[in-house]
Amino acid sequence: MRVVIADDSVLFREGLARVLTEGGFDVVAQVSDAGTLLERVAIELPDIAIVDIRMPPTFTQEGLVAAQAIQERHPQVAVLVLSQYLESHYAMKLISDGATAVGYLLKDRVLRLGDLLDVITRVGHGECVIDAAVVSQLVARPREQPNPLARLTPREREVLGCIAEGRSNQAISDRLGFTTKTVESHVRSIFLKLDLAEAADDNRRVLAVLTYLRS
Amino acid sequence: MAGRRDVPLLAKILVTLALCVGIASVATYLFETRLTRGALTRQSDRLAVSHLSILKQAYLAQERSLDALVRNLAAEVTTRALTDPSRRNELDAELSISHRDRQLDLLEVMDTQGRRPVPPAGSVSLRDPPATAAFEAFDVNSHLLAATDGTYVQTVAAGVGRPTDRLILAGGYAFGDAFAYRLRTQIGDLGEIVLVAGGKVAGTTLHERREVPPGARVDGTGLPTSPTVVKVNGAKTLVVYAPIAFGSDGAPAGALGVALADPTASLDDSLARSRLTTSLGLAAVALMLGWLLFRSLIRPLVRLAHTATLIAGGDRDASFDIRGRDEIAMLGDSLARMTEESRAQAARITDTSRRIVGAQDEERHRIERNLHDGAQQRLLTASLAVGVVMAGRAAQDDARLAADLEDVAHHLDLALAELRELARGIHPSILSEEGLGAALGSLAEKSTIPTTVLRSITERLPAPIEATAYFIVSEAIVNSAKHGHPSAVHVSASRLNGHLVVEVSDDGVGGADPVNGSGLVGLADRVAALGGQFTVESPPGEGTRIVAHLPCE
Repeated sequence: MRVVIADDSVLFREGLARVLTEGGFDVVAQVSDAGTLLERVAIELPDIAIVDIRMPPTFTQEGLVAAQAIQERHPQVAVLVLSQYLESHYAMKLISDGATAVGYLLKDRVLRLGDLLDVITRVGHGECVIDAAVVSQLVARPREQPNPLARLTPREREVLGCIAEGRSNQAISDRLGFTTKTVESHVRSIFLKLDLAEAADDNRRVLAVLTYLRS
Repeated sequence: MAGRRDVPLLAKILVTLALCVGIASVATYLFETRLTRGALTRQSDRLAVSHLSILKQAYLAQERSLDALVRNLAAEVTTRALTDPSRRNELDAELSISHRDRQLDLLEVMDTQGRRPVPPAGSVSLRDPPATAAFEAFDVNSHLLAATDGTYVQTVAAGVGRPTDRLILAGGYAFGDAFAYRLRTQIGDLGEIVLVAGGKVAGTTLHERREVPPGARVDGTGLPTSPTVVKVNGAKTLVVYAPIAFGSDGAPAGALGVALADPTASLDDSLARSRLTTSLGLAAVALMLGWLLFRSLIRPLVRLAHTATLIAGGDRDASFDIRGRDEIAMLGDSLARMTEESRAQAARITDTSRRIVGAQDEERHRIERNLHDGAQQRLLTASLAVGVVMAGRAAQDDARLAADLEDVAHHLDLALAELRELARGIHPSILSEEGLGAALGSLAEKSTIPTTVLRSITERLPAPIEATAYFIVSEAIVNSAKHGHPSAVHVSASRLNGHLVVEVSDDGVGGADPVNGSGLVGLADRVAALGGQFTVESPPGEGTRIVAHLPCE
């Protein structure tokens, strides 16, 4: 899988490149700002661009803007945004128009390289991935009564979290150790209880669930 | 105080003026009415007295003509010796003719004992003959004598004939209504006439029939000899009497009276009417003059007061309109300068406060960036390094090393999370990058109590406004969670009349103290620095509601 990395911290960027190379990825370019990123993506057309949300020159959210630009210009290029912000708002900006092959991950995840590589692979294969911490903050958020989430069983809540993180039914069954059929029945039950319409695909399902959780 | 202030100055002055004019009018009215009434009374009294004297003249003229008539007749009777008893028929005829010609009510001849040698010819007869001893030939006496039918007769009597066969010739007019009308015609209808005889009304031109003369006591005595006002026929009437026609005993047997309508009776109404009209006119003129006069004095004052009220109420655009160079203008000038000075001072303070708030925000932002790009970045790089080691073959082979590394990773996780929260608390990047709406949503998501953003805004506002609003909501939610024990917190932010209005309310226990309560005081200062308003309502048991109005034009 061909990868472009964008991060202004040289140490971090090179460390990440090394890890990815060792993990079997082909790092075709490393850049330190959004402008160069867009140029290199246009030239290399990688499978995935891994982008720090905060880059020169303004150190605000160039990464996010660049990610959206890449999605728009090169829909075949997946984008994973690495962020230090535990904000569902940014994640929603990324997936809001039902985009595919995008991810919003906390940078902290570099501690668990296995998970990180897994996420990169999933995004590279067209899935939507939302950081588990972002999702759990939304699911665990205290809500006013009557709280529809309270009607979910603990299992269902677990499944709901997985859906919001962007996992497919297959991935959920792998992760939680259920059969796919069980997962499907849980999903139906969840959508029924939350009064949500069944989504056309996994990515739209993420969007629907996240929108619900944030409201 | 408020009640007194409510009456405008001009109204006070006009009311005072109107009162003065009113009092003056009433006083003048009372005084003048008395004067006029006195003058009028004196005048009408004189009129009555003069009418009475004219009446008396007329009466005397009647008496004189009667006197002459009787005297002539007596002379003729004597000359023709008609008193001779043998010529009684002649005498009788003569008297009958004279009675008819002279239109006398009484004409008779009687002897000195009162016997009537010739019977009365169609006329009244006297009840008592005049005293005979007094009559010599041609002696004439005028008396008011009672007739046999109870009426009174104005009588002139004379002795006729020789001393041996002396008779008394008496002629007269009945002292009744006809006589009264005759007298009135003679005096040219100057008033009504009352003839009094024997204490009773003998004849009158008054329409009212009465026995007791008007103005007299019920027993008919005490006729007023000076003008007196009495009620006659329901109308106030001025009466005055003069005694006349002494009886044969020499005492007054009757009186002449004049009755005039009282001229002062109509005085009250007509004078009151004219006085009232005059007063109203005067009051109107005084009010108009007062209004014109005081308007020029009061208007500038009223304008000053109005402007001062506006300024005191916080109107920044109000300014004193100063005209002329009098004391009021000086006062206005001083007020204007004081206002200018205090406005300038307020502006300086606001500027300073704003700069301080801005500098604070800037400093927080800077610290947040430093944390982010410094410590946080280094920790992440370290994490990556640890991650690499953990993923390496050596760690996988060495269980103890793996456990140690897991421990390091755990601490790194915690450190990163804490650092992230610290940076966020100092200055949330989502606020400066995405605006207040997104930042409030983020606050609600992270809140430990159910928090709902009911209304929010999407547009961007000046950084100090956004930061202040954000910290108010943040602090309010923290306070609610800490002290209020609410089941829910509601947040709203909206634009209203050039202001950003943020409101945080909970259904907790209330009783929050805005003065000693935590970080609310600092927030109130921030709001004041931006020229906004900050209120905390927290009645015990009814939840807490915090509202801030921040100007953001």
